[in-house]
Amino acid sequence: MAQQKNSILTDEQIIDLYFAREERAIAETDKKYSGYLHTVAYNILTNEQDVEECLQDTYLRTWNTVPPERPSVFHAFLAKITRNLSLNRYDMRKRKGRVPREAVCPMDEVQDFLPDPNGPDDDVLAHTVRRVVAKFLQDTTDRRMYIFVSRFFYSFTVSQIAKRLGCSTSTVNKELAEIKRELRDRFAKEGIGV
Amino acid sequence: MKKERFFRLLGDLDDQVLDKYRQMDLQLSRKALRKKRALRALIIAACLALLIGACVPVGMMIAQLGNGPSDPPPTISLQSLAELETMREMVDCEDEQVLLDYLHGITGGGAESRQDLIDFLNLVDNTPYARFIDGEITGLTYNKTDEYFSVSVEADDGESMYVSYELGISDVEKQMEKATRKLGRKNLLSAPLATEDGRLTLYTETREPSANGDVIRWQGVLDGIAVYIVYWVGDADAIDTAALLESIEIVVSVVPQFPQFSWANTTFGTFVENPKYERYCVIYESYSEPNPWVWMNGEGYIDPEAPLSYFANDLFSADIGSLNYEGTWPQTLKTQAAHVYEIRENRASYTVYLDAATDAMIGWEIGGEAQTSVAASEQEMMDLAYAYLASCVSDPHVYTAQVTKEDGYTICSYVRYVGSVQTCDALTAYFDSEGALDSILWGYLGAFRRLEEIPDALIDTVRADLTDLGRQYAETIGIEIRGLHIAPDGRVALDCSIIRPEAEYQYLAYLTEAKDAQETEPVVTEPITTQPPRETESQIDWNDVPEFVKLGYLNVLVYDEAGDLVYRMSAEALENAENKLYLDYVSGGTVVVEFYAAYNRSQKVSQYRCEGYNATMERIDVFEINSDVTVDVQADYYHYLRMTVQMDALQIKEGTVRENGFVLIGDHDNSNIEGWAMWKRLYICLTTELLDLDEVHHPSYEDYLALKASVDAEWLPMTEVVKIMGKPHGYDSAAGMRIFVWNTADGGQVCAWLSSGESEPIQWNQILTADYGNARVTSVVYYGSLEQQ
Repeated sequence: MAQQKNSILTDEQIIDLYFAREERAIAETDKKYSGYLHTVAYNILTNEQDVEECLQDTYLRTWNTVPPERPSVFHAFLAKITRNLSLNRYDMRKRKGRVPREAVCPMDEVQDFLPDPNGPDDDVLAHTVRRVVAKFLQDTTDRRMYIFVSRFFYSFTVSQIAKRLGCSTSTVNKELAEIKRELRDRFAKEGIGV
Repeated sequence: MKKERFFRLLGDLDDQVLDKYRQMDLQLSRKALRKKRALRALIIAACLALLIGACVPVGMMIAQLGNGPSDPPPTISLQSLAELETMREMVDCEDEQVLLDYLHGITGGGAESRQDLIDFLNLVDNTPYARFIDGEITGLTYNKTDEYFSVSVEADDGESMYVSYELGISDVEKQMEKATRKLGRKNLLSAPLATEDGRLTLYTETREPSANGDVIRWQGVLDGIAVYIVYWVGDADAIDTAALLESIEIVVSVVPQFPQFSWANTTFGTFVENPKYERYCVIYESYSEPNPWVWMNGEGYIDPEAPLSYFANDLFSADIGSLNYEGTWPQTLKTQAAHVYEIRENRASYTVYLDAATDAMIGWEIGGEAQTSVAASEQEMMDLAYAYLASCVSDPHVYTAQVTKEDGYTICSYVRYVGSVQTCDALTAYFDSEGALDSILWGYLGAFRRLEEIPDALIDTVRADLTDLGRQYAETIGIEIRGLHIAPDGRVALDCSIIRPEAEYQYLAYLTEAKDAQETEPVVTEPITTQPPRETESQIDWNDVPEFVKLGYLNVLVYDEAGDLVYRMSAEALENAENKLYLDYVSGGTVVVEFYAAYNRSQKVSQYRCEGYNATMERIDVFEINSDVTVDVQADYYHYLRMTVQMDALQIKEGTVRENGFVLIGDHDNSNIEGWAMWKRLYICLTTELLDLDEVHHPSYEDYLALKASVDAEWLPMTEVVKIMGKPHGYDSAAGMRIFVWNTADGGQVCAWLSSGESEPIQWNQILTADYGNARVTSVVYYGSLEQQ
């Protein structure tokens, strides 16, 4: 008997549901990506309640954005929304002094290769940063790309990255240091050295 | 640049990079899993080797190393039945990355593969449970290392219970003896106590105060499994263990189960193929032993390969979904049928039972549990909402009705078919958090209306605005309501589409003011071209045909060789992706398939019939609706009759209609409009709504102007555009059909009509000529040009 195993819709099908304004789109998104988005949010917020609210906000924003937008890579689209919303919430908690010490968000770490604040104005700098980071990820090895994205996009801890790569934390730390050094050099070449 | 902003910028990565990352992550996960399995296999092999050499301690040490600190704790833990449902769905997930994400996210980290999930589900579904208290399941945990499975339940009154099944203990009796001896005088049971059926025996009991009352601990044996039970209770003195054992129920699983179900007593059942499962999902409303005439509503999953007799016994042995029948319904339900409406509120499932005669609400449940009391304010609000819903659904033409809650609003809505040009309307009412009616909308294709008795300036504004919009877009074909949304600022937004020949526009209007606004915001109109221009010549996208024109409902009737009806099922055939329905049946006899219109379930539009195995279904009393319907019946090796019905939506082949037109199908005797069709978009809708022709005739043309594709099209001779094929079911010489044709180029006057009747029986499959005759039509006509026939 030809039975279908369609428990998880394809991204295209889910996006079509958004375009058809069917609320099932949100349920299907949740079904397929809640685990993934949970990781994105939890790595920043480390609080289940905040994460849950953040995921709901992600779905609402997706609902309000699609259409007219049609994401080309749906999981990336969702992850970016979740990350931004998580950081908003992180900032809010920080203002209220509620960021726990154990929060793993590697925000402080970016100071290692943070461009000089006395450089060009913020908008120009932002544009340059995007370009330099994009070029770096394009040029670098897959492994370094993986480490960079794991650490600075998904906010995984070094030990989590090491475990995933099957190596020691010191190896990952070493490679992270190299990545930061290379980024510093690249920023310096653009005249926005650290 | 501040580090926070810089860190945000790092999130603005290229989509392709993130996609590449995800692929890598998947590969790494697979690799890690393979490595882990290989390591475990190695450790097991080493242990076996060492055991053979009588070096057990060393082997155990190595085994311990295998579960060393670098391994995740081997526990699978869920916190609710909802999470269990998610797990059931993920078992079938084909996307490995999604599955891995899910496995990583399971509390305890002990789920490493799909098989782990299957094993866990089997454990949950097949571990007997002694129901000491009724409450919400808050924990389901399986520990691989220590081999125990535990269940935590919390009741509304604060009582809670923890049951641990010590699966690794083989010599249960010895364990109980040891536990009894160890407790000594602390054991409050002088002798073991057992339930009447002997399935549960308690050997030890201790009681002591806890933070919020008392805690009672038992050790015992349930169906041969050593169990450790902890019961947090307000006052332990009120608990008599012997009496408790007499009253408790032992069920097959902690997951709620339906009572024994008997197909023989099924009065109505709806099968739908649930693509999420490899099994069928059955949603049924029936009465069942041991409570005859108790209505149930729920869903279960059955093995499609299993014979009917298997269904009867084991239908609900598997998961039953979110709805459940627990056994106590108002007596009124035992004597009369009830309308049952399922309502989705957020993610909870509500079912409301309305008295069939009065439409009064006579029961409701949340997540399958009958509700006897709720907070006063909520009760009032829900009563108001449901009363309103009841008033809506008392209309026999209501197609769907629902109550939802969103951002503090309780929203009642329904879609109703009223016939003729005003084909369907939709009403949505918003109640605020205090239960007061906030706003209400009533719309139908081509215009919007407001309920007269509920003045609302905002709705008037919207109506005026829509009217202006209609004037602005003189060639607007129609307005489709797409939904109502709550904007982040609290405004209720109406989302609809303005459909014109060349494009479809999104229209967004805010119906209520922002929560923080001091003054009412003006209605905002944002026409946005969301789709490329439509083809105007013979290119019709059938995906655009509204749902209500589709055939969507069928009955399957199975008669045994003596001609008795032995089986009946119904399906929303077109709601499924593939529009397929399977039936396994153990005996021969006759199978009849009846197709009904989606908009009106009493409107049978065609029928198929076959007798015996391997028969080809013969279409009888059928209208040539030109929908792609295939019915295949065959017997398999086990002599099960297997029927496959594949049916596309009611479709008229593109290219058959070349010009604009507007046709009403009328009942001459009663001056009723039975249906209408419009060229180009080919809306076809039949209805049983009785309307006065005289009243409909002229005003309907105005409506038509709002719907039509073009007023300038050349009118074709009717013989070229209208043809009736097939004979309606139930047609006899006393009946007939009448088709009215409005000439779009002639101010909307009736230019022709086609009819048949007693004096001039319809010559089916021939072109009708204009005539007044008695007319009666009950079903679909076919529209197309002669060249295509």
